[in-house]
Amino acid sequence: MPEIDLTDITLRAKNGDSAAAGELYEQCHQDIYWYLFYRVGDAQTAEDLTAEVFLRMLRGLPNYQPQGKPVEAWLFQIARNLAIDHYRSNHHEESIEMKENQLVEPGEVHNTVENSLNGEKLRRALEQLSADQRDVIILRFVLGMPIAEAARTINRSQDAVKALQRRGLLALRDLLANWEVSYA
Amino acid sequence: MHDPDELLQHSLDAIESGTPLEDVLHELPEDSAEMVELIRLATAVRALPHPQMVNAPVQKERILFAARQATVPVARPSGTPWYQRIFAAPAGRWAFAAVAVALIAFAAVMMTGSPRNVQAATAMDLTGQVEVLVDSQWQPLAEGDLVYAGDRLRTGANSSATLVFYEGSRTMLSADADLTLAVVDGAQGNVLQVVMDQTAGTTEHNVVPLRGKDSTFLVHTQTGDASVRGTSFEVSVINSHSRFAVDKGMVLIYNDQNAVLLTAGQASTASEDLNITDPAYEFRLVGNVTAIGETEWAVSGVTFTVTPQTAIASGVEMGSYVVVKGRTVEGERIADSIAFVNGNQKPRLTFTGIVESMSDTAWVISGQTVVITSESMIQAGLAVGDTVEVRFYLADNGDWVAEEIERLDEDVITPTPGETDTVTPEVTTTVTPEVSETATATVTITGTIDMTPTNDIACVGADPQPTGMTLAMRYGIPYEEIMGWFCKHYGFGEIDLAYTLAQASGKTVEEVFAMRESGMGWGEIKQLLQPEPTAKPHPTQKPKPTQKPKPTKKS
Repeated sequence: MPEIDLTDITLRAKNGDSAAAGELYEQCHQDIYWYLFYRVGDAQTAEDLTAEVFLRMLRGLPNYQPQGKPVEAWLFQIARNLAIDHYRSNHHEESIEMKENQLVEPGEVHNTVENSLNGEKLRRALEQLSADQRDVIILRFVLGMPIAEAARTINRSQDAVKALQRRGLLALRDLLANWEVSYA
Repeated sequence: MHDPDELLQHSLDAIESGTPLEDVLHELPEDSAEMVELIRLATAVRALPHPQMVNAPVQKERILFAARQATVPVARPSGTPWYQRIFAAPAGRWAFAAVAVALIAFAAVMMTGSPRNVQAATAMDLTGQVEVLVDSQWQPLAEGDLVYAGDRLRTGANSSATLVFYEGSRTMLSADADLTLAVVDGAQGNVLQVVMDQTAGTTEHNVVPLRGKDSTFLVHTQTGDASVRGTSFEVSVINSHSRFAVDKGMVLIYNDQNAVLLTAGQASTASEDLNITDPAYEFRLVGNVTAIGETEWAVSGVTFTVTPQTAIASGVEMGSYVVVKGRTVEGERIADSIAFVNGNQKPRLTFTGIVESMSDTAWVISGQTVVITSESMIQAGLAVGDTVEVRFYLADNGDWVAEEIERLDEDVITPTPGETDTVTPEVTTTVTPEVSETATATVTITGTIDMTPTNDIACVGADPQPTGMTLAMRYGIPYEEIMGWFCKHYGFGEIDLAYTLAQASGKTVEEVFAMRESGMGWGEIKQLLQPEPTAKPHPTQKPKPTQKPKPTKKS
């Protein structure tokens, strides 16, 4: 997410400045897209859902209060709900929401010539994590979100996010080791 | 620093602030091999290139367009009306025709296409705090969100939400409700299967008549279940018991030990000991508490009995603005609940019952005399024997004066066999109703379908099934016969009704079910087999008093 404060832009958008809505999109769409890409695993679906996030934001603007949740957290909340809806409506949730740290058998994912970590392997590994671990890994290491902001976004304490961060990395490490994927 | 979570975060912070990775790793305690791996992995993930959006510019234009649509006021047309301007030019006429064709095609696709979200309900009309449990956390629900099987919802104080199912049925959650959708499923042809568990609060359900025997709409509470096929009803979970009230149609209330069939205007309660009270007509009073006695209270001057089972909201006192829901049992008004009014409900006194007698000045409805005045609004066509709802006020002399009387419609069940039904009955029904005070209907049924209960009762579940036992005892027939119908996919409510109608009309129960299989709704069947008595002529709509001409103002 951008360093600049989005509150003023959002207030302008709320007051009918359509250019401000475009500016919000410009500032935030990339992070929202990455988040959704690693959540839903399909580029086109992630693009469609990204647009839906901003359309829902427009619908919710009349109720926006600057003293409430930060805009970024609000957008991620919408994105998160959409990702959950997407999984549930596609009957994927059970296969994706595996128990924490449960490993899958090696087989189809890897064995390329180099077998080093790339975006696709990361995405497939993230699918095996719990939803909360997955969110924290994406927010912290894909989007580079500070711990405090990540905590605000997923409505958890910073301590909880730190714990999820370590457990998520442990699970990821074990998965990649199992798949013989190198990253160092 | 011994906490590994903190140690990891401390190291990541150092990297984020520019410290070289190897320096950070070097600073770690000696036995930190695992921590080294995690930090290297986090760094590797951060360094990965991530995919870029392809259609970002197009999307931005879409967002800008939507923003402009949302903010630019629509210009009011002036001068020539829009339709005249369109048709003024030939190109406009062609464009209009093209748009019309496109709209018709779109509507056709929408009407014939497969519904998209048959396995979800849409959350609408949200007010206040409405949340869904996601990943063990309560998350706010947004307008238009989809709710799926397994989702648990709750509303806060002064909050409400409506769930709209794909074929139009609706469930409204009032304040402080807690509801889990256990099953939400459907199929083309308006087959709907909904099962919900309600543990708190009040829900109101408006169920579109279900199609096909596979359709289900069931509200489960800890003390009783409500099963319907097309109706309007309310379920409240109050302390340790549940209360069921029916606005339209019929609802079967049952638990492992008892079952009752409620019709329009009736209410019943189910308690922890699985006792279900007999159906009784309902009363509702919205107003200020005007008397509080040991067992007798009053709201807006209307008295009622309070029992140890009455759920009284904490803080209710003289003058409190409340809603009382209760039942009239053997002439006594018994309150089930007294709660503070949510929202902006106006004062309103109502009760339901059967019209027992009618005169120009007073009606007797389930034992209660109601004064009729020229101001009373009375639905046309009401007759003795009708189930009605009465809105009234209390006159200074204690009379109940009718403000409005209207029929409560039981005949809302008009399902037809859905596409999933495999039965293709060849049944002809010839109806010759005679219009007289002793109206009878001649029903001739010739059919080729097998209208006998199956002997295979392996579909039962509990053995013996308690509701099946209750019905068998009620009608003095073998338990296996009841369960045979049940195993042919009839609900217990339908079986109950079929035997009631068979007894009342002299038809066999097989003939009744054959009528049902022919596609007739239960309401139609009931009307044919159990015609209402024709009442004496009655001036149903009272003329309103002629308004006096206003006196001319003297100059």
